[in-house]
Amino acid sequence: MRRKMPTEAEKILARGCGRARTQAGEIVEVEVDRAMVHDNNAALVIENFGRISGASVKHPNRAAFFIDHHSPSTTVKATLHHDLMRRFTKEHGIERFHDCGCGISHVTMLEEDLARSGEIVVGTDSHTTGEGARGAFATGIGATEMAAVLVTGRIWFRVPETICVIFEGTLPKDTCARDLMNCVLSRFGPEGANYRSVEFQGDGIDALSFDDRIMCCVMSMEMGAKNAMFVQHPDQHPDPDAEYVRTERFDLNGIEPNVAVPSSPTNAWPLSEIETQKIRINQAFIGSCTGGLLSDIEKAAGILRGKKVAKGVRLLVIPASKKIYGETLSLGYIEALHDAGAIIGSPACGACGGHDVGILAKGEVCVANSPRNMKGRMGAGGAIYLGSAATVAASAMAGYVTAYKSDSNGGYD
Amino acid sequence: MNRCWKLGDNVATDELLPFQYMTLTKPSELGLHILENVRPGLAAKLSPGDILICGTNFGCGSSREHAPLALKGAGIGAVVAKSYARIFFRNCVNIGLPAVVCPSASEEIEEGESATLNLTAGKIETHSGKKFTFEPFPPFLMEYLLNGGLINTLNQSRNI
Repeated sequence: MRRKMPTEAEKILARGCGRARTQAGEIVEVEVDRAMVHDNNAALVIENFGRISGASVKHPNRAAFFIDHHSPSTTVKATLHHDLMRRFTKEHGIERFHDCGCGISHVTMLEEDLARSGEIVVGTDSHTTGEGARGAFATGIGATEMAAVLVTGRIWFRVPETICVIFEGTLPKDTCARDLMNCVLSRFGPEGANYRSVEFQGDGIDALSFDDRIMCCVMSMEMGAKNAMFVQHPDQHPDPDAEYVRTERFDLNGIEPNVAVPSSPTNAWPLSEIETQKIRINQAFIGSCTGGLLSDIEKAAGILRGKKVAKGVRLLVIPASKKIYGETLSLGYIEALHDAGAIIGSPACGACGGHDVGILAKGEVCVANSPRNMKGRMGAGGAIYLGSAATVAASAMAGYVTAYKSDSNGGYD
Repeated sequence: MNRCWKLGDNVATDELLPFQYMTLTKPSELGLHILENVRPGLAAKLSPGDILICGTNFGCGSSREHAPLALKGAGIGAVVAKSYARIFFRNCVNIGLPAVVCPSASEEIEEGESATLNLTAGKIETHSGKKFTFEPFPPFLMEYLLNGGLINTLNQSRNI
């Protein structure tokens, strides 16, 4: 029998620990290529850094600090943490400090080429998996561990088994990549990829935009993935002989619009079944690292141009980065959304984390294209439905959770 | 003997520690708010060393280390689960909170029972005589747990 070939995660971690190869299950210590810290966890990182004897930042040029959760801050405590970050980065020569309004770390890092193919990236955010869109091994870690990474430049990993997710065919009209990813999450469940690496493959990925790929990699975390990747580098093609622990195929032709109902991102239901229930919404949110990308805002603006948000619905639109905000302004998307009745927020995580704007009152319902809908996510007692930008825009117009139908001639009541 | 408290499957860190408390950093302050939305009043009932018995994929979702810090701050001495979400597990061992995998104990121990957990021996025993064994932590993680976390262990090796 032919010897199985290493998976992409095994290859990248082998390079990280200076060996020819590694195998799933081994524990290895690797050099970190990029370490991201954001304001939600920075105070704990800095406190723990202070507990390390003789601590200094080993590679200031590999660290990147972001203010993206409380941006701009709305609480005194968050402001103090921001101040701490500004002083820490200055004191330790960390030049990559992204202040309020820069946008979300994951998206901004990809824009600024801070997560390259084959690199090992760690971040103090579970959705760091999103940085795998260009083929980096990117994963989330906690604050204490990040403090140690800043000092040592290294981290231990158990080399993960790899799951191969194969997309075949083409998505039907009015179906988005988010609908597809909701189906992937539904098949795997909340723990289906726990501790494992996810590789996306198949001819269906050719039609996925870079924005779609970011969304797929971020959302993989919701089935537990350690990291997720679209392998891009010419000498890093997915290997048909690689040792995958599980391979799942998805026929894109058969995917229909759907939403994840409360309270797990893996609870996907077809919209054809949900919309008949006419679930009234109080808030619609287009934003976050899975939903505030240029293509999301373009889609929402296209649907809402010349139309109005339903009475009693707050539509909140937050571009994921400063760059995206600028593009949506110059392309007229923001104007169209503003005219439709949207509230536009400063580039940041926004309602997804509930830290600054868009908190739900008890009993309120939100439809969003953000990544999470766990209990209490946007406020205690709120309920969140997760779908595509098209679904959020159509629901905002209708006033209840519904799918976008391009041939409906504006029949939203 | 320490009292056991029981939770179900897929409890997210959003539920363990709601977002509005994430600007707190002291374990004792964080501990006042554990599971506030899903098990209100629990924090006030805990005693030091109590054990949390959980289902599968415990601590899924957000990477917030505030969640295990809150458990520790509330007095939880150990967590026993069928399985853990990856980042939560790492966070636990990094702050010196034992996160034990023992599916049979998770199934059979009821809320309100008292139990003793022996970390190094890999044993759990309830007051009613139920006995469970779990696979001991790999040596380097056991060191983290016995030293009170990653930072203390790192400091020992740095000799500065």
